[in-house]
Amino acid sequence: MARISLAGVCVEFPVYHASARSLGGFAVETALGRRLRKDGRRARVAALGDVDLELADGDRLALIGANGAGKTTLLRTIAGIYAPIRGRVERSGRLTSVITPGIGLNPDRSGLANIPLLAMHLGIPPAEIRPHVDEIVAWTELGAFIDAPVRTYSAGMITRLTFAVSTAVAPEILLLDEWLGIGDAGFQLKAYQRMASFVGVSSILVLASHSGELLRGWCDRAVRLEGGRIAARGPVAELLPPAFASA
Amino acid sequence: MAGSGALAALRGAGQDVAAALARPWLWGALGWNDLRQRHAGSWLGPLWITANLALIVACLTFVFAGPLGGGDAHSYAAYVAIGLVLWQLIQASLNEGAQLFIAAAETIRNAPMPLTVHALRLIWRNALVLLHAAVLIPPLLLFSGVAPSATAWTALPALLLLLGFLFAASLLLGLLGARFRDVAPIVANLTQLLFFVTPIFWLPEALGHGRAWLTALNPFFAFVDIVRAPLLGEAPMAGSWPMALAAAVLAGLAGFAALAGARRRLPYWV
Repeated sequence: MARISLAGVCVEFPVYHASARSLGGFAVETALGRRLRKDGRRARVAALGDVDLELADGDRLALIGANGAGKTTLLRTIAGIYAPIRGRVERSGRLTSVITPGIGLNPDRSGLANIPLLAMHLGIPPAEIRPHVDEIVAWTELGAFIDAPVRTYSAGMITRLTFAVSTAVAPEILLLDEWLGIGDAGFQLKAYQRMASFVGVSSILVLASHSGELLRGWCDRAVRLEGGRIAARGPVAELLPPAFASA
Repeated sequence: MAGSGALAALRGAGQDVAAALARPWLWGALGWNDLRQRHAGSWLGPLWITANLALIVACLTFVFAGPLGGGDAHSYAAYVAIGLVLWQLIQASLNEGAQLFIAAAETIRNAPMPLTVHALRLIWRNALVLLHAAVLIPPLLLFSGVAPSATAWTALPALLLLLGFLFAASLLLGLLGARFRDVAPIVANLTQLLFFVTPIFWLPEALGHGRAWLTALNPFFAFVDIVRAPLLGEAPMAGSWPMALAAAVLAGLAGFAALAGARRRLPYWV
């Protein structure tokens, strides 16, 4: 059973000015100034504030928000990459998080040779992905390109390969960032069908995107982030910016 | 956070190390892939490592066997080859260790995996480099006429101890290097300096009594000595094993403490 639970989650980024990154600067600051400045004047950027989120099997959540609103940070926090400074993140179920497509690719090797490398970076051991390789190759429709070095691939082709690998072994929790929108219309349709085949009752999907069409098609609920806080919750169509809602 | 923060941090670090050790398919494949990528498309591939070492050993033997090696070119060649293979392992692991997490920044920010995986990947990669270079050593030992001694096998546990030390040291340096960007250039300078003050291409006896502390206090000499001496049919110096063990334990404790302290913050630093 898949579950995601966030309670009062806050994430802050330390912003290091140049002298705090150097050993000498750090030593001088620690000796002279740190005690006076306390933590108050160390530059920090609040990226997420008081985020509460409960997701269970079958939930398909859309993350909506302007650039810098905290969508990717929220995905990384759910994935366990960023540890919150306050609050609690609980998660159960096998996680596949694809924040950026193509992580782990070796550009000099073929798409085929890269399938296990991509899978490994998604937490799938080579032995588990091996039985799915033929199916992945067929699904991507890359044809002869599957034997060409990945550095010759377009962004859309890498998107196809990444999506096929990340969904080959049905994930229980699937986190996808905006990159999904890179694929062409044919890809979008195929990807939707593939996703729908396993995100039925036994999985959770969290998708961040600026594409109203994509979000309305894939998701059944939404949260809108503003300045790292959840500004609104509700049906996808209601939370989309007006331009998309009327489209 | 529930419970004691420090205890939770130590437990988290322990889980990170355990989870990484349980994924040999991950760091094993990544280390291999690094080596492949480094030599992709080249004629000799990773055998360039072997060829490079052969050339250096030949030149060093030609120039220094007389003035520094006591005049016996055959035993000097084996001595210098073993020393260089070990030094390349040490130097590469420390230098790459100081940039460990900076180099892996993209992976860390995008693919959730135990941080220790990156250190194991580095050690595995450099162990593979060592294996490629080490194929030169058996023929050189034969050539030098050294009879295999009964204690030659101790070179293997000694090498494993060195790999363990380098694993812990790369974790420690990697965490420090991610937070403080001076660490990598400092380590690069120090390893360069240490190469000259450690008996790799000269014999420890050359120091005389006045400067013997240079080797006695040098943990890197201790590690080189406990691997090299048994292979050459000699006994390591009395202080070498204790020094190497102490260095490995200290590095292990420091590396683990650094992981416990910095693990949750590292993704914000890289």
